[in-house]
Amino acid sequence: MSHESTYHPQSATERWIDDRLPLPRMASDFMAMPTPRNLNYFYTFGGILTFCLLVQIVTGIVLAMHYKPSAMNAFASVEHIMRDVNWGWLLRYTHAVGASMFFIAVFIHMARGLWYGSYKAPREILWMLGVVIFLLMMATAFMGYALVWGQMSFWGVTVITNLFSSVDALIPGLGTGIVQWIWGDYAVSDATLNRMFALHYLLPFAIAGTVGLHIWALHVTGSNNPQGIEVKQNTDTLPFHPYFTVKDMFALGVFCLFFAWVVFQAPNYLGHADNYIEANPLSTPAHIVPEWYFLPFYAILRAVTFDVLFIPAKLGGVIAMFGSIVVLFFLPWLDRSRVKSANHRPIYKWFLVALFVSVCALGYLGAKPAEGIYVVLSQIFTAYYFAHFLIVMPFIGIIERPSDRAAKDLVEEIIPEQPRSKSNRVALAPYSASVNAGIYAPDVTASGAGNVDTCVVSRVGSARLTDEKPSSGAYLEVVSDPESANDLDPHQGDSSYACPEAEILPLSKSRNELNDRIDSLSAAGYTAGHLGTAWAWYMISPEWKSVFTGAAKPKKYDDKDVIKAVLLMTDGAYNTMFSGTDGDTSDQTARDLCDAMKAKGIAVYSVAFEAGDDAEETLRYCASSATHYFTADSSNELRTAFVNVAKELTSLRLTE
Amino acid sequence: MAENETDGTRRDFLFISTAAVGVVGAGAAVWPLVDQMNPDASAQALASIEVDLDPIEEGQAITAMWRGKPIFIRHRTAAEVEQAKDVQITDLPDDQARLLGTTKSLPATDENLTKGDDNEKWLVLVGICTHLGCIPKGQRLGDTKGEFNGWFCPCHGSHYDTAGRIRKGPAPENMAVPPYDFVSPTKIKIG
Repeated sequence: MSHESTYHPQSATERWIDDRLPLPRMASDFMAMPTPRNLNYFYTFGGILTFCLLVQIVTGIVLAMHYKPSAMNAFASVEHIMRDVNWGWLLRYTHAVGASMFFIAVFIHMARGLWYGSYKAPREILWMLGVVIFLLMMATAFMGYALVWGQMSFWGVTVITNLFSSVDALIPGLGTGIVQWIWGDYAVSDATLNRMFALHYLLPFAIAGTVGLHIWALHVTGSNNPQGIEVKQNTDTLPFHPYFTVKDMFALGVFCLFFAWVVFQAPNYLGHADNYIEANPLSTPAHIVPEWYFLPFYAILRAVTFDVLFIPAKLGGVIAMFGSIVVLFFLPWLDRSRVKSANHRPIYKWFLVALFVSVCALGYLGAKPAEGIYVVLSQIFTAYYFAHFLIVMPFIGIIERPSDRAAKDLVEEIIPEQPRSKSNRVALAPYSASVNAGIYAPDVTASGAGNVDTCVVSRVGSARLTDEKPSSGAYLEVVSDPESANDLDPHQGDSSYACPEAEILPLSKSRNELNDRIDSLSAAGYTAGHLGTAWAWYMISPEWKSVFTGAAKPKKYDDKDVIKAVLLMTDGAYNTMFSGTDGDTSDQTARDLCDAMKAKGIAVYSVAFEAGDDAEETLRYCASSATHYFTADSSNELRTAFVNVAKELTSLRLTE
Repeated sequence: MAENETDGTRRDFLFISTAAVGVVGAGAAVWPLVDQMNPDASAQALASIEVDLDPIEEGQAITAMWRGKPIFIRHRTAAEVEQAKDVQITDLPDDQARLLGTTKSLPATDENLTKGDDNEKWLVLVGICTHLGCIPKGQRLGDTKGEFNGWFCPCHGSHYDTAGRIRKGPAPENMAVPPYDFVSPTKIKIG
């Protein structure tokens, strides 16, 4: 375990044991693992899977006491378990349904890892051990299903073991040799069943061992989390016990309700009626279908209906099927993006959704007969499955610009996960050549002003350097005709009017609301810095309480429990100005607005992000003091700057 | 200096020879563990059976068991034989006769797949689809026989003709012909 030991032996006995075999220390440190506090319920499936493995091993050992692994007796002994053995029906149904539950949980667990990028450095080995467990699970489940020795069992084994005969296409005779070696006969037979039983009993313990390594690797690197950002300090984590044991137990309880419902109400829903007919080597069922959890891979197997170079279709299908799992081993190196969580990957996340859709579609197609449109669709989704890993992952990782972390870090720092009535609030004022006032547009502009959209530009007249509320004579201007809006800025020439898609967000204490709005930001060129400055002020100004009402209502200026702060950020010179009025520049107007704000007691912070000398000059002027001003030359520095501002604000609040 | 070199080569020799003996020993120890998986003596003992053809009327087929596999024995009608002979060898997806127990490489003509002459009406096949091992339909009276009047595999849609040759579908090879001989005009020995 990589984290520091927190175990302190309490008694002489404990010390004595600790010096000889420190098992209590290991257990204690295991339970104390620092775990990111922002884990969601998708992170409970690791615990659920451990439970599933335990259920399968316990019920399996008991069933093995009644089962007879011979072609003569296997089918009858399963019926004997169902009818005669005390509670046999419950044990067998739990074991059979348990396999399905195991796979439901493992698919969610894997999808979780894909979404939050849990396979990336430093968790490569953790992920690869997971893929090994998945392979072992599939082998175990396959052999377990064979033991029932019904028609589906028998023909499932026949079809899947025959896959290896495709090697004959490369080395004649080798494939047949392998298949007969697996069978121990010239057909699937008693010998085959007997060895499947032996291995079905063995593999779960191999899984348990690999799970041990998997958890060990987890404790070395620590858990990933939905933000995909490594925890930096102790306050980002909580001990695994009791915080996450309790959460895991609750999720497990809900999972068990579902598990029990299937066991008692629909135990055969996920099985096949044909498997209640004893295996008959002389009659193939009309439609051989594997268990549901193999269907996507079965669809991939059947999607290859054409020869590729020297590889005949049959071998090609086998290669594709095994390749679909093997490719997972290489994810840590196929994904070129340094951002872990798909939450912060605006392009990639849609491709990932497409992957999930493809796997589900393949699952559906795997159950359909291999003919007509089903084959074509299988081929399309199979193509996407591989393209996702081999083309999309490496390529998107290079071109994608992760959604802006800096603003989100600030939001997370300032706003608690569970906001209370007195919690901090944050407002957002995105701007380019104008500000999109969204639903507030009618309140801030004169009616009939000829709005073409909800965007507003500078104020004119006496109110232009104040936070006076919009009213008759002090409304905001709009651009009535963007086509001929060449009256904007001398630097930009004509057509420099741009309405940002992202609307303003007045004061809010909802992390989700703020993060969603931050996600929708995109760069649109043009920097009407004075507009951003003015709107930042408006949204925290009590003068505007008639516009921003309810939870977004700004507090009074003289409330001593309230700190009003503005954070100005730009990456370019303030050069865009609706020039219909007094000929002021954007720069000068912004400085005047800052002066007016500071006079009202508002703390002004500013961050210049690769902004150039002019903008740096203006921002330095605007900042309440030299320590309120930051520069950043990289996105990392920007994040640091935002987090510093946030920390300063939260600490101020705490000390008051 | 010279002495060190001598020591070096002697040590190298010991390393290499020890490793070589070790590998051979490990291999010898592992081989029984691997080979025990192969078909055992009892499976091999069921290697030959005799089948009486007398009760099989023209147009009928029976299924026998040999080495745990179904053996299709069809008493073909004159029309079916003709149909099988009419096929151009170049039209076949697999132009090899798959004769078990021989290394001979023969084209998949009807003559090569049967015993010829008077016995050309008898077709004996391992009744397993060469795709993934399902049992093709076409043995029983009501069964569908596929587009080529032979057999049809319901698993993945392979069609075989009246000589058991793959004609359409994913199966890569013709159905195999087991080693057999006529021990009397109405009896064959398979295996």
